[in-house]
Amino acid sequence: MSGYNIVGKPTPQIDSRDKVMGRARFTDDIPLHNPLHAAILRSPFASARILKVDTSRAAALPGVRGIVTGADFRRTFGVLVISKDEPAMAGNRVRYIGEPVAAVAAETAEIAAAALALIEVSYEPTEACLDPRVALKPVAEPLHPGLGRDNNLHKRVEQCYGDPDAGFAASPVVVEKRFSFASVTHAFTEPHATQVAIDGRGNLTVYSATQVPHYLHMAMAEVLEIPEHRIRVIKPHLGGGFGGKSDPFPHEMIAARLALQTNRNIRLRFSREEVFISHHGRHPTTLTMKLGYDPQQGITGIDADILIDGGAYGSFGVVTTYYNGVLLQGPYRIENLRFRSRRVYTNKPMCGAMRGHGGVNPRFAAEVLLDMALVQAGVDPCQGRIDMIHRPNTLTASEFRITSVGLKAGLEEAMRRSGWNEKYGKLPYGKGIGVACGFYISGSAAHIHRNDRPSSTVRLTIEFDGMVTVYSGAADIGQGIDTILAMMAAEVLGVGLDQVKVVVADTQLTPVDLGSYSSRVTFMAGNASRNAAIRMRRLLVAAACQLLELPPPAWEKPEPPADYFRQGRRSPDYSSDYLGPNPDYNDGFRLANGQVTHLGSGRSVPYLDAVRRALDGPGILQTHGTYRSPKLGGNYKGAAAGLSPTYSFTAFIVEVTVDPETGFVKVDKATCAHDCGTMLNPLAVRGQIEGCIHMGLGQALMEEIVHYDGAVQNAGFLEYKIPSAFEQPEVDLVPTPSDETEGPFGAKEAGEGPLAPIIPAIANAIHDAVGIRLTEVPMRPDRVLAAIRKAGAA
Amino acid sequence: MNTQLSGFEFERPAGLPALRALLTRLGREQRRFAVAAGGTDLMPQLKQRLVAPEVLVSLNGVGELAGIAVQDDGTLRIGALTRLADLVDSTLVRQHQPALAAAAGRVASPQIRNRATLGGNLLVNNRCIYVNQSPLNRTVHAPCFKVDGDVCHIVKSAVRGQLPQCQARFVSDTAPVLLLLEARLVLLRGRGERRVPLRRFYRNDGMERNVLRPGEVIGWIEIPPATGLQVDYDKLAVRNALDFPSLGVAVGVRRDAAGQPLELSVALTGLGTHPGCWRHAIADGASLSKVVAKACARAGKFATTYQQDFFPRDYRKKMIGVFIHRSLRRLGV
Amino acid sequence: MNTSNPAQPREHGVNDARVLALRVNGVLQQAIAKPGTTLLEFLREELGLTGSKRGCDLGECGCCSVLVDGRPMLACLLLAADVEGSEIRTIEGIADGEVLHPLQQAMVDEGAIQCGFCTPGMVINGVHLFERTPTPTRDEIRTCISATVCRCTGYNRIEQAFVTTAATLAAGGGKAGAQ
Ligand SMILES: Cc1cc2nc3c(=O)[nH]c(=O)nc-3n(C[C@H](O)[C@H](O)[C@H](O)COP(=O)(O)OP(=O)(O)OC[C@H]3O[C@@H](n4cnc5c(N)ncnc54)[C@H](O)[C@@H]3O)c2cc1C
Ligand code: FES
Ligand code: FES
Repeated sequence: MSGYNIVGKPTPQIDSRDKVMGRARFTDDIPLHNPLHAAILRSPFASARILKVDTSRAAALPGVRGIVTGADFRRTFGVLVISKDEPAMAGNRVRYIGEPVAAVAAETAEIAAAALALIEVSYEPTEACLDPRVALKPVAEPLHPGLGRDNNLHKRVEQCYGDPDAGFAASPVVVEKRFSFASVTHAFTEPHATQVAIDGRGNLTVYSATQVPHYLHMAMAEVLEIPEHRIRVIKPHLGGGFGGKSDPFPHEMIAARLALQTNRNIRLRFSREEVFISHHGRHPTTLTMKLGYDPQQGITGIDADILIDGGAYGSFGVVTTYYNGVLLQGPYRIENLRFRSRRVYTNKPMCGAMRGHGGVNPRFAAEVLLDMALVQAGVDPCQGRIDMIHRPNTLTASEFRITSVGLKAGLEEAMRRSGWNEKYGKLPYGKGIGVACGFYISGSAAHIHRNDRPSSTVRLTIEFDGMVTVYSGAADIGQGIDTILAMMAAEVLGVGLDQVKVVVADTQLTPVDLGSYSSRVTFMAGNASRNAAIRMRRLLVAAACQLLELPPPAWEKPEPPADYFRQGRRSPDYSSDYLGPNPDYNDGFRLANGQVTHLGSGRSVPYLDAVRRALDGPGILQTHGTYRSPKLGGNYKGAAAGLSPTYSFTAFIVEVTVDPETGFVKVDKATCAHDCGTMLNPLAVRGQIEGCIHMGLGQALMEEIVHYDGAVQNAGFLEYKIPSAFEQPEVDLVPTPSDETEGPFGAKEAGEGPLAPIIPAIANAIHDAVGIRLTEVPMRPDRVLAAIRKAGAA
Repeated sequence: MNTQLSGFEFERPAGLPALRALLTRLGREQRRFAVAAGGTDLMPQLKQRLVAPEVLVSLNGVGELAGIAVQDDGTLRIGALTRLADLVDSTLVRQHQPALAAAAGRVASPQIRNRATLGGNLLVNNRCIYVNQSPLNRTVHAPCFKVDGDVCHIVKSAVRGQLPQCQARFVSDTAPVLLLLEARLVLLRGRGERRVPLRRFYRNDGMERNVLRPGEVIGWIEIPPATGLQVDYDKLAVRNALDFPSLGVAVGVRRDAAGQPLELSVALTGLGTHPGCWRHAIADGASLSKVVAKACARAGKFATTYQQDFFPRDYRKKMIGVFIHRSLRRLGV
Repeated sequence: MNTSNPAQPREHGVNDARVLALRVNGVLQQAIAKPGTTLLEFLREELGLTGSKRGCDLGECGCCSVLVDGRPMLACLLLAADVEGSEIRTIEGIADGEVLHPLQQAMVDEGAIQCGFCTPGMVINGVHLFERTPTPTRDEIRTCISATVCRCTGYNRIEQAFVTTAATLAAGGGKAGAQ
């Protein structure tokens, strides 16, 4: 990127030295003063009534200081306002194996564990609902009777755009298949952990491994029934989230309740098994999809029937139910789309948001069907896709506003670099090449909690020594957002990265950011940081003008894009969020290398002089920046699902070797074209894409949660198979720029979009290698082998 | 699951005499004790409360039991406490029994191999998806025979006292190779010792897994010189790291001085309650492919295979023949 | 139906805890350990050396790797009492003051660190690799990396950091055994 000092340069994370030296503190590493150790008793029943919880023997054990049970919590909670159905602790019934039933705080972890063994719980087992199809049938006692249904349906969404049936009728090619997907889980390396410090005034400081400090703060106040101002949530270094830490969790409430009860600091950490039991992973899904294709028109229609197994509680499930359908509207043009999507409750650990949330499984189905259709129609799978990719600045069927799209050129380049034309259909038996595309939201345009506040606010200060501090509620979960926030400020203010500190994810010190989910942080918090820095820049430039005895520049208020105010917003002054496209500062100055230089005259003042001059009057140098999504979309129910200020686009070309004797699939190479607009930090973008490849590869070939009577049977890294270094392919990243005027310096998301398409790309490559179409994911060797043998027999 | 360990005493005798004395005393006092070498198999079981000894006896102070040497008659003598990593790196082993080094190199991960011992690997506990679980999980499914319960979740009709009582599967990666190499174990107990051929060591049960007596330890593993024998080992596992063998196949070919194959041998791990091992003479003029087919058929019938693993059972069985053929190809047959 | 946790706590003597002395990062450290105290607990809880991470406590993730007498081992599978007399090196003892080991530097520079939870384990294993084999093959690198689970990076950058380190060492930069 020309003209930038910082943006676009490969930049190691600002805290990577701390991490590589072992001194970065993760939640469980923080030493609290004389903490009690908490442990949770969990239900061995998938479905049961709790008749009695007798804690008297446990309470009598020396060293036990506090015990909580379901009776200590009156309110349920949930990340979505529309499904607050989860208790912090089971009250009179348990709904999954592993649900918290009681918890103890004791002087040592050993005593806490011993105390759990002394708690006697009388259960009356009831019939468990484990099969999602059965969940649709009437039952005497649904999991959540409050919904007023006679079955375990949680959410049903039916939408239709255009006329798919007419589309199919007019199509030369119509394909249809039934697909099934196992449940997969985040498997981040740092287990959940929470520590709660309590002070003499009863204020709680909650250190927690969470992606959503702000939501946790609010949920905790609600569940504990204490004022929000008595809580402070801090997210220390966090060892991976991928959506698995993006809900407020029962254990966080439990730790806080124990702190209030005992007036002592509390330390709570999960075993790896507890992480698996808490799950919140990708929904097991069965779906039937029909797709029509016409070489002249492209995709003529999609009809999908989707059933997702939500487990015991809601989590993000309502959103998932929508996403499974609405995220079929890209990356290709499609007018005729119909889907019925249902989420059911079952007596299993709950599913929620996981990287690529909601878009991954239907993407697999669509890309495999599309591949079949293109093959049938005799159209090259890459070329056919390229012809259908959304054009920039268009609206989709449900009015997603597509802004920048760089994928067309990216995929063309990927074809060249991977040697597609020389390889596709021409490799020897067992070797194959395949393609698939995808797109993803770059932050949800709609708020979970309805209010008129910005999605992200950043405060920025400069102290007398010239140190810039960015205060943001955004949560770095390993993706490197702290670094991005610092880069935004450094770029605009013309200082080095070493002159920018970040204070982040502390609900007392940092203004609100909604959290790390839906790929929103780089785009939204990045914009807020940039905007705060632009305001600060004006103060510095004004100070420089004083020192240089120049008139201050007259800043014109930039005009927001036309649809910014679409459909009239209620709140008065949103335009103040909008500070113009990048990187136009409108000030006639250059800030770089510690100098503030007037471009017209070439005269300059040292940065530090400008800072001190600016401090002279107010004594404090502080600005803020915000990000707020433009108003988007239609006005009907469900119109907000999937709306995002912008979308990323991805294509994968994957090369595989299939061993026809064993069915083993080795992914040899992945060529990726990912349009994330400007790559703010190419090192981080690369890392995100390679991480997506790893996770997608795992889901494609080996990862699956196995249940037996509702219990997770492979709750550890040995039996839940995540790919090792040996399975990871060689990766070639194809530059795929686009011009995203609303992103910070033109950036869009890179953390989730690349996950979905890698999976069908592998499937399509397997087809090219050995001529089989797999519809069950993971595509385990035994399934591959069975399909090969079946194909051979036919 | 609480993975903190407590409730046992720890002893680390310094030297073999001290170990013998300690084990004798513990036996006399009827204490429940467990022996730990590398502990890489035992520790997870302790943490999952699958074993609960009163005394944990570490072998790591018994230096006499570590080391590799070739005896005058050409026998390779490996101390039970020899770390797998040392086995992999040993020039002696690589020279004399490269297949053993290769198999040892397929166990778990490098850090585990740095600690894990050969003796421990031969005694690695049989595994089952219903037993290698946390206490919570085992409560859910009712404890099975292997943890003093009354059911088998694999063979629901199993009753107490009928062998095999328990279907937990044998998973050692090194045992198949050592079986083909006709290894012997030197077992130490009290002041005495006895030699047991490895092929007589294992029993057809996931609980009573071998003939080791209480208080007895493996001292050494002896591999007699075997001229003309070449062995190959490969394992079926989802990943190239960490995973226990879903199936492990060792194949041996014995040739005469002229290079003519005389004998084909096959050993399996990962499938049944114990390792399988068969030898097939290749009579003069017999068609090799017939012998191979026979070997595959024999191995395929070895054990009732159960769904205990990532891979479905019929898949694992199908792979036996595939693996035998591949090994033979690598062995140049 | 009544259930209580099956693992009943056992009584044990008061004298089962004792002072244990271990050489950690070149310093003789003394702290209380019980027979069941793992090396990982000893380092993290008693000595406050929290750089070694507890990802699973069952030997399945590699995040707790430390060097015991120069070799990487899983601290969660070792009893502290069983390594008495050994020389322990943790991630805290790898850099030479503020001068990073070439592998640490390469991990930073190549973007091999995302959340950083697996990083100490990766570094510990890598340090040992380079002490043994200054110019490892790609397969040796992968074997070394495969010992530790990383969920963020997909391992490509980590592998690259190892390749870079080998090049640095070959060019005579840094010293593999920095202590
Ligand atoms: C994540 C993970 C992956 C693994 N993958 C594999 C794998 O792929 N293949 C594989 O084979 N194993 C695997 N293992 C199991 C184990 O690490 C190895 O089998 C190892 O070789 C065991 O050796 P050890 O010395 O650590 O045994 P220990 O744990 O010390 O002992 C194992 C058993 O043998 C007994 N014992 C040990 N030495 C003696 C002796 N000299 N005399 C009498 N009894 C003795 C112990 O009492 C115990 O019952 C894995 C373990 C883990 C944690
Ligand atoms: S914590 Fe030791 S291997 Fe996971
Ligand atoms: S960087 Fe997060 S697990 Fe490796």
